Amino acid sequence: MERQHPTSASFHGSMRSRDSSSTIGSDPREKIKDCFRKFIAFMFTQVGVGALVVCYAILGAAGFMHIEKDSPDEQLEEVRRLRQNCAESLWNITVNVNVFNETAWVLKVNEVLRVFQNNITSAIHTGYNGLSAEDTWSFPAALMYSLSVFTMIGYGNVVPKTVWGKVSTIAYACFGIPIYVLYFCNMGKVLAKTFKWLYITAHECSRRDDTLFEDGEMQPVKRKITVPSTACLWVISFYILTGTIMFGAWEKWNYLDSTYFCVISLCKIGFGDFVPGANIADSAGGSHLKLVINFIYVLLGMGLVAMCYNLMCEDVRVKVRELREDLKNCLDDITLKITVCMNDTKYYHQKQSRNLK
Amino acid sequence: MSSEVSLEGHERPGFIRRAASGCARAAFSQIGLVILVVIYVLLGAVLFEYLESGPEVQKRSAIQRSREECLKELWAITERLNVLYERNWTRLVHEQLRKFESSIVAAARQSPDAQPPELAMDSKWTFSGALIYCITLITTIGYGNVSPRTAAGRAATVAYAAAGVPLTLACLAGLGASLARLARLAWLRATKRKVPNTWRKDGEPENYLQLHEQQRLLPQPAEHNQYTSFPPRTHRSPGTVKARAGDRGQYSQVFERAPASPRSATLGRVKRSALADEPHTSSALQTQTLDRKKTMGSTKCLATVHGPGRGRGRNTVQRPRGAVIEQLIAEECGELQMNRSQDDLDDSEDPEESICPHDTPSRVPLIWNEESHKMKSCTVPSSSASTSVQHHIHHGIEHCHIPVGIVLFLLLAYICVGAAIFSAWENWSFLDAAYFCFIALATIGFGDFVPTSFLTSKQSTENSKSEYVQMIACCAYLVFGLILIAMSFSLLQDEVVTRCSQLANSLGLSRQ
Repeated sequence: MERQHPTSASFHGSMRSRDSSSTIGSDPREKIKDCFRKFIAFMFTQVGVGALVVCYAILGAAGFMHIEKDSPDEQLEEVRRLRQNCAESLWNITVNVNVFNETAWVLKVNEVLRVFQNNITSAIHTGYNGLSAEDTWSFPAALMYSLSVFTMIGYGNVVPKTVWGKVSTIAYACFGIPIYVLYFCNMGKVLAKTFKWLYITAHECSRRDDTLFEDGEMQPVKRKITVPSTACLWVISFYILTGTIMFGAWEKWNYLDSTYFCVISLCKIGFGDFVPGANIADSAGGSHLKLVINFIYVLLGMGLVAMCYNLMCEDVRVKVRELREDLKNCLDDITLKITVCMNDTKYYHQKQSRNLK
Repeated sequence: MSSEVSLEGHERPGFIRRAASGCARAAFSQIGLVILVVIYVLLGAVLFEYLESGPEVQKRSAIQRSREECLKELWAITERLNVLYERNWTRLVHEQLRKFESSIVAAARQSPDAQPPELAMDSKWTFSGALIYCITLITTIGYGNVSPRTAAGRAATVAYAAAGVPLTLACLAGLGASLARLARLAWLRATKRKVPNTWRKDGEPENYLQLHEQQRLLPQPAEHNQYTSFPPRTHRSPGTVKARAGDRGQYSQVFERAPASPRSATLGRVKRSALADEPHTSSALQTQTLDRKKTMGSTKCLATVHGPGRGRGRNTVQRPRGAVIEQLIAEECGELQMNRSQDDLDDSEDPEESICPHDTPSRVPLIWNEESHKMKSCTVPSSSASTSVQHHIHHGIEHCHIPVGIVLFLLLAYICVGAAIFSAWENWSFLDAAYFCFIALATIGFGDFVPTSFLTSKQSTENSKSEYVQMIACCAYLVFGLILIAMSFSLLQDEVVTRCSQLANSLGLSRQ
C-alpha cells in the first residue's frame, strides 16, 4: 500500500522516503539516513526478519563457542582421576593376588570395575558425556544450541557449564525470543497468505467449470473460502515425511525415530535424545551443507506451524461458531417444547378442575 | 441508583473476598478446558507408565554385559603378559577402561537414567515420573532427562504431543487472558484510589473508570437513566456481577440480552435503552475511539481476520442514533476494515473469545489477543451504537496500561522466589536455580537441571510425603509460572506494539 507521492518531488528515483515532498536537494546525509531507514524497515519485513534470525543464530553460536570452549573441564579431570584410581587398584590386585588364581582375581576385579561403573554413571548424571568442551562445542553444535534457545525448543544435549555461559544464555533468550516471535508471526502471515491464495486459485479453477455450467455467464462469486484444516494438516504431514526421510538417511535413525524427532522439534518440546548434528560432527565431510539444511529445515518447520496456525484458526472459529449456533438452536427448541408441553398440561389440569366444579 | 458518595468503606472489607472471587471466576471461565487438560495429563501418565516401565532391565544388562567383556579383556591382558611391567600393563588397562567407560556413556545416552543395577529397582517411570513427563511434554518444556525409549512409547509421545500441545496452550492462553483482565481491573482499582472522587456530570471520563462503571451497568436495560449521572462503582445489583470485567462470558452475555435474531439479521441486536444518554458519552467515546484508532492502526500482526463486509450497512443503521458517535465508530471501524482482506464475509456476530487467538505473534499463542475482540466487535454487523458503546467501554479496560516495569518486576520476582526455593531443595547454587527457573518458564527446558530429588530410584512406597509435596509444588510452580507469562504477554502486548509503532513512526519507518 504505497502512497502516491507527487512525482515532481522525486529527485532520487528509488531513494525516497515517505515524506519526500520536502526533500528537494540531494543531501548526502539525507540519502544515508534514508538508506538506513529503508534498511531497518526491510529488516523487519518478511525477508529481513528471516535474515535477522539467521544472523542472530550465527552470532549466538560464535559467542557461545567462545565462552564455553575455554571452560575448565573439571569433569573430564575427575573422570580421568577415576580411571587412574581404578587402574591402580587393579594393579594392586594383580600384584597381590596369585595370578594363576583366576576366580579370586576375577571377583576382586569385578568389584573394582563395578565401583568404577557407578562412579562413571554418577558423573554422567551430572553432565559428563565423554567429550571435552572443545569437542562438544563445535560450530554445528553451537549453532543448534543457539537455535534451540531462541526457538524455545531447548534440546539440552549441549548445555552451558560455565557461569558466563548460563548468564549469556539467559540474555540471549531474552532478546532472541522476541525476534523469533516476530519471525514466527511474519513468516506465518506470508505463508498463510501464499497458501490461501494457492488454495483459492485452485478452488476457483476447479469451480469455474461449474459456474459456466450453471448459468450462461460467469458471475464472480465472492464467497468466503476458508482453507480447511485438512489442507494444513496435509502440509504438515508432508513436511514431517520429508524430514523423516532426510534424517533417516543422514543420521541413520530409523523412521520412527526421525518422525519422533520432527514432531518433538515442531512442537518445540525438544527432548534432546535425538539431535541432528550430534553425528554430523563425527563425519566432517559435507557436514556444513547438512548443517545448513538442518537449520533451514527447523526454521521452515516453525514457519509452517505458524502458517497452519493462522489458517486453522479461521476454520476452527467458524466451526466452533456453527457448533454453538446449533447448540443454541437445539436448546431453544428443547426449551420451547418443554414450555409448550408444560402449558398444555397446565391447561389440561385447569380444564379438568373446571369440569369437576 | 445509588448516590455519588464513594462507598470505599463498603469496598475495603470485601476487597479480598472479591479478589478471590475474581480469581475463581477467571479460573472457572476456563473450567472446561482446565478439566480437559487435567484429565488428559492423568490419562497420559497412566499410558506412559504402562508403556515404558518394561524395558529398563534390558539396558542395565547391557552395561553388565560390557562390564563382563571388560573383565574378560583384562584377564586376557594379564594372562598374555608373561612378566608384569606396570607401565605396559597399566597402559593396556587404561585402554580397556576407556572402552568400558565409553560403552557406559553410550548406554547412558540411550537410557539416560541408567542406574547401576544394585541401586535402582524402580525405573523412573513410576506414576509420578510419568506424570511429570506428561506435564513437561504438553507444556512443551521437554526436559529430556526422561524420554521414551520403546518404539511404542515414542509413537505414543508423538500422538500425545500433537493433540496435547495445542490444547494446553489454548488453556494457558485463556487462563492468562482471564488473569490479565483481572490484573487490569485490580490496577484500575488501585490507581483510582489516587484519583479524586469527583464524578463529573458532563460525561467526561476521569480515567477509564467511569467508562468501566458504565459498562458494568449496561446489562440492565431498564435503567437507562443511569447515564445521566455517573453512578459510583458500588452499584451492587445482581446484574453488575455478570458484567464485571474478568468475566469471560461478558460479551456473550451482553449479546444474549438482545432479542434473538436469525443469524443474518443484523439489526436485531439494538439495545435501545442504553442509548438514552448518548450526548453525554459522546465526548468520552471520542477520546476513546481516537485512542483506539491510533492503537489499531498500528497493529502490525493482523492475520486474516474475518470481518463482515457490511460496513456500509452499519453506517446507515447508526446514523439516526447519534451522529457524532456513529461517525467516529464507523470511521474507525471502516478504517479497520480496510486493513483486512476484502473477501472476508462473515456472519460473525458472536464475538466470543476464540479458542485460538491467532492474530498475535506467538510461538503458539500464549498471547491472548484482545485486539481480535476489538476488531471483530467493531465490525459486528449488528452493532448499533449501543453495542459499540459497550465495546468501546469495555475496551477502556483493555486500554488500561499497566506499566511495563511492574509486569517485568513481577516476573523477575517470581523467578527469584522460585530460584530461592529450588536452591534450597535441590542444593543448587542460586544462579543455577535461577537459570533453571528461567529456562523452564521460557519452556526451553534443557534438562541439565531438573528438580528430581523426589524422583529417586527408591521404591515408590518409600516416597515420603514431603517428596510428593515437593513434586506437586514444583509442577504447580511451573504451571502457574506459565500462566503468569501468558498474562504478562497479554498485558504487555498492547504496550509493546504501541511503543514499537511509535518508535517506527519517529524513525520514519512506518507508513503513517
